[in-house]
Amino acid sequence: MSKLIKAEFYRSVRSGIFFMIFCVFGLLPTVMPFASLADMEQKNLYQFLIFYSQSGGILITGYFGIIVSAMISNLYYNRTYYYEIMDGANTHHIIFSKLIVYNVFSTAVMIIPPVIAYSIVGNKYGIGEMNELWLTVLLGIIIILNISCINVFISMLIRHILAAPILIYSLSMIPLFVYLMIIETSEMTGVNKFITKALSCSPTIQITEFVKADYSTGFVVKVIGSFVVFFVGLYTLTYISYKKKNFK
Amino acid sequence: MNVIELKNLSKNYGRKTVVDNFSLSVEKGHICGLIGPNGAGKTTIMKMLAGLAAPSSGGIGFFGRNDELDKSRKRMAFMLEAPIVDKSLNARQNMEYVRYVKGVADKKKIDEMLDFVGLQDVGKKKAGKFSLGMTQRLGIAMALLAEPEIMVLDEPVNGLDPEGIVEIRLMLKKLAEEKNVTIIISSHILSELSELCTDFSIINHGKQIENLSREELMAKCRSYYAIRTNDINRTAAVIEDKLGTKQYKVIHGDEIRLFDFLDNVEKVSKTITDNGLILTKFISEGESLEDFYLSKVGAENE
Repeated sequence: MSKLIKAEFYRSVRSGIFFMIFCVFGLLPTVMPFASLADMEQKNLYQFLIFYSQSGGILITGYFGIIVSAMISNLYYNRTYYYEIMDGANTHHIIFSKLIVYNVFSTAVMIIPPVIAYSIVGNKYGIGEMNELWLTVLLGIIIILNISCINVFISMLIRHILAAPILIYSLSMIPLFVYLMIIETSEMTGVNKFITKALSCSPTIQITEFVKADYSTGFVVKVIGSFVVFFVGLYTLTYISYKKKNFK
Repeated sequence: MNVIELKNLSKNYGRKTVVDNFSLSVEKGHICGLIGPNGAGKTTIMKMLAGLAAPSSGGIGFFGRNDELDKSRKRMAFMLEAPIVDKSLNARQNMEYVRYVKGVADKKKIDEMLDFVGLQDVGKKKAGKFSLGMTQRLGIAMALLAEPEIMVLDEPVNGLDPEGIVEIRLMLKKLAEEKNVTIIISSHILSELSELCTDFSIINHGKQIENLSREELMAKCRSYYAIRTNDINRTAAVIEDKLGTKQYKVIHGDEIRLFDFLDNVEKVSKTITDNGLILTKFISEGESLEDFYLSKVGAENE
C-alpha cells in the first residue's frame, strides 16, 4: 500500500493550482476568526471556536469538499487510476491509500493549525464558557475527518470531475440550508423535529454545532455514530463499485 | 510455455455480447497481433486482461496460473486505448507517478525511458499540450518503465510518424527476441503487424475468426505468379491449353495471376515462351496479411 500512498501523494501535490487552493481554503477557517475577532476586547477561546465552527464550517464542508473532490476526480478524468488497477493493486489498498493521503492533508491544514493557534488563544485569553474542552476538540477532529472521508468516498464512487464536486457541494449545503431554515423560521412541530434530528446526523450540521452542543443529549453518540455509519456504508459501496470491474 | 491463456472468454454489457467465446494462447517471447475492425472487441479483451473489465464467463491465465491474476499483473504492462497520462503533469512527472505505482526503485529508469522514446528534451511542457505522437511515446515509456514480462498494447503506433512506427516496431522486436517479453498488440496498420508478429488472432463482432501462427499465415496466404506478356489474351489461352489449368485470374486486362504450378517455375515460363510470347513480367507474389484479413472479415460480414 505504501506504493499507492506515495503515488497519490505525489500526484496530488503536483496538481498545482488545486493543491494551492486546497491549502488556502483549508487554512481559512483557522485564520478567519483572528481577523474578525481582532477588535473585540473580551475575547476567549470559546468565541474563536464558535466562529471557526459556524463560518468556517461552511468553508470546510462546501468549498473545501469541492476542491478535494476535484483533486481526486482528476485521477478519474485522466484515467490515471487505471495504473493502480492494471498493476493488480488490492482494492482495500486503493481505497485506504486515498483515505490516508487526503486525511493527512485535512489534518495538516484543518486540524493541526487550529489546534496550535487556538491553544495559544486559550493560554492568552482564557477558555471562556466551555466545560468539556478536550471533548470539544476531539469531536471537532472526528467531524472534520468524517467530512474528509465522505469527500474521498463520493469522489471515488462518482468518478466524474464535475458531477462529484457538485454532488459533494449539494450534499453539504442543502442539509445545512434546510436545517438553518427550520431552526430560524419554523416552529418545532413533530415533522420539523424529526427533520432536524435526522439532519443533525450529518457532519455538515455537526461542524456548526459541536462547540455549543449539549453533550448530555447524545451529541457525542451522534458524532461517533455518524462517522461509523458513513464510513462503513460508503466504504462498502466504494469497494463494491471497484470490485465490479466495469471501468469506463 | 504459454504465458497467456484465454479460454472461452465472453463479455456481455447488459444484453449486448461484446466478446463471445474467445480463446487464445500466447507462448513466452511471442508477439501476438490482435486484428479486427473497430468495435470487434479487441479493447474489451485487453481490458479483461488488465483487470479493468470482469469476464462474464470463461477463464484467464497468466504464467501458467489462473489464480492470483492481480499478482501476475504486477509483472505486466498495459497501454489501452489512448495512452493514459495525467494532462496536468509533464512527461517526467507522469513517469514518476507510474514509478511510484509500480514500485520501481531505480529513478534513473525514467531518464533512460524518456531518452529511449525521444522525449528527453520536452522539459516542463504539460502532457495536455503534447501532440498525439508525443503522448503515444510517453505512454510507451510508461509501459516500459517497470521492465514487464508481458506487454499488452492497444494501437501503440497510432499517431506516430513513419520513423516513429519503425522505431517502435524494432524496439518491440528487440524486447521479444532479447528479453523474451511476450506482447499482445493491436493495430490498424496491418503491414506493421505482419512484419512484427509471430502469431495472429483475427476477431470480428466479438467472435474469434481464426488464430494462426506466422508459418500458418504464410501457408494460407496463397502465392501466385504475376505474369505479363506482349499478348495477355493469348497467354491465358496457352495456360489453359498447354498447362491444362483454369486456376488463374486476369487482372485489369494486362496481368495474369496463376495460382497453379507454384513449385514449377521453369515449366510455366518455358510453356509461355515456347508458344511465341514475350515475358515482360514474371514474379512470384503472395497475399498480404491485409488481403488475408479482408478475405476473412469480409466473408464474415457478408
